[in-house]
Amino acid sequence: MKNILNALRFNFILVKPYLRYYLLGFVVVFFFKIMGSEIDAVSFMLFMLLSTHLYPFQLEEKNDLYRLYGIVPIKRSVLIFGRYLFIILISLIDWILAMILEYSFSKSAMNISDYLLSSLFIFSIFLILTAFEIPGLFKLGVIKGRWIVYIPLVLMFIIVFLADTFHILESGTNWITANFWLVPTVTILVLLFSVTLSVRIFNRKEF
Amino acid sequence: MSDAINVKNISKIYPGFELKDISFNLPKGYIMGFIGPNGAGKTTTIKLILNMIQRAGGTIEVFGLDNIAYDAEIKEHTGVVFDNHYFLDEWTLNDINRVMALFFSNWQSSIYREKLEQYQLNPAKKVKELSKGMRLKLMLAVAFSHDAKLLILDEPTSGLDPVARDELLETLAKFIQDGERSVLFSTHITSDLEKIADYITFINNGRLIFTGIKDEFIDSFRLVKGGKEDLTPDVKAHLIGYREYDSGFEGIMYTEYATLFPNLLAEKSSIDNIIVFTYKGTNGL
Repeated sequence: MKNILNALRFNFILVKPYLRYYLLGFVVVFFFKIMGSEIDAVSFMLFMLLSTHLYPFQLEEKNDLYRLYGIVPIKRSVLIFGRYLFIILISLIDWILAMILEYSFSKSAMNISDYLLSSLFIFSIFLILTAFEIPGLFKLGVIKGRWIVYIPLVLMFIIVFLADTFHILESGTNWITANFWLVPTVTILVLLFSVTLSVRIFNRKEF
Repeated sequence: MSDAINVKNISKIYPGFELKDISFNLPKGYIMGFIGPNGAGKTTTIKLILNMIQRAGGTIEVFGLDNIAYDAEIKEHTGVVFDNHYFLDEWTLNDINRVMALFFSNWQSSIYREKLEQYQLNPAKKVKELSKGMRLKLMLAVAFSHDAKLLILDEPTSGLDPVARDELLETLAKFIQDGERSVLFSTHITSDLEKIADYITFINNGRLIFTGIKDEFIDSFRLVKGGKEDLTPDVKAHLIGYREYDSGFEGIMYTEYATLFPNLLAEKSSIDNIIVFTYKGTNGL
């Protein structure tokens, strides 16, 4: 556990020069809110995070940090756990900040529990998209694998489009709302699968 | 005498290149020069020792431990210096202290700071602001700060000025003084090895040509010279590699064969000449 936490801290040191960019979405959406925009803070910030959370991958590829990983006494799987923890933690911070921002600027009388549920749903979708993305980034790197980021996004839009076309979007939404426990469960399962796949890929990777 | 590194019949296959049946051992307390032309397989061998790539066959033991099963234990006591650094350009030397302390359980920040001071490296400087020589010193400072018992250097001196190279050689000589620490030193600058190496391992085209004591290595080859008429088919068959001139030829031959041709001038060869002529011979140049 100590090693995993050290790997998490390593990720923070890794992106230290770029940490301010993680808050860029917050600044932009804060500006929009002050200007009276009705943009959804949670969706916007998490969408921004889809690109900023590539930084650790970009930095290790650009600086060939795989050589560092090859000489330090740490298991490759621990490095993977550290990376996932880092991304989840950063996402969690962004999500909480976005919720506070959204709630503070909300003009309507918002039901907190409804708001939390819808926000959690968006956060779960974000984590699932990320879970699809990370193994590809470990396999191909950011330069070759950047297109992977767009696959889950495109798939999501196709699903929403088809659901809308066949008039099942509303009933589908209602079904998810009625069985909301499925959302975190599926998210956790997808994340676990993603971690397993990433460990397998990284263990075979040649530095 | 136990070994710091024991490599047995390792192989690795890439498209267009095969490292095959490489075996050598580096006894504790000594420096081994690891030589060969570009593309010979030196870096591949080093990466196999460090478990950075997967081998196709053979076994590797470091400090008597299997390098895959005991990867982390071995790396706790192994310092590595590559031809270029393995840090983030934006990190300061203070950041590197923090990073290494996360990875090495025996990391000693006080020694790291001492080494930075000794090498006149400013801890507030960023890696990207350091010269090549300073980066080499930084990697050495890192290696010495986790009590490395084995130093692996992969062509660290290319691009260094003679003063910096001489300092490095002095550092390495001190490093092995206690008889417990060892160095595997891959370099193209063979004059450095002539000064400090105890053992030589020479590979070419992925094959082992020689491994053993440096003096035996140099003694086992002769630089032979002769006129054009001396380059008979029999001589050619015994030459490892040679170069023809208008007036004659020169080439490398095993010492035992050199005595068969008393008409040729045979003299002790430099390590450089052994590498060059072996390369020529195996590549039909």
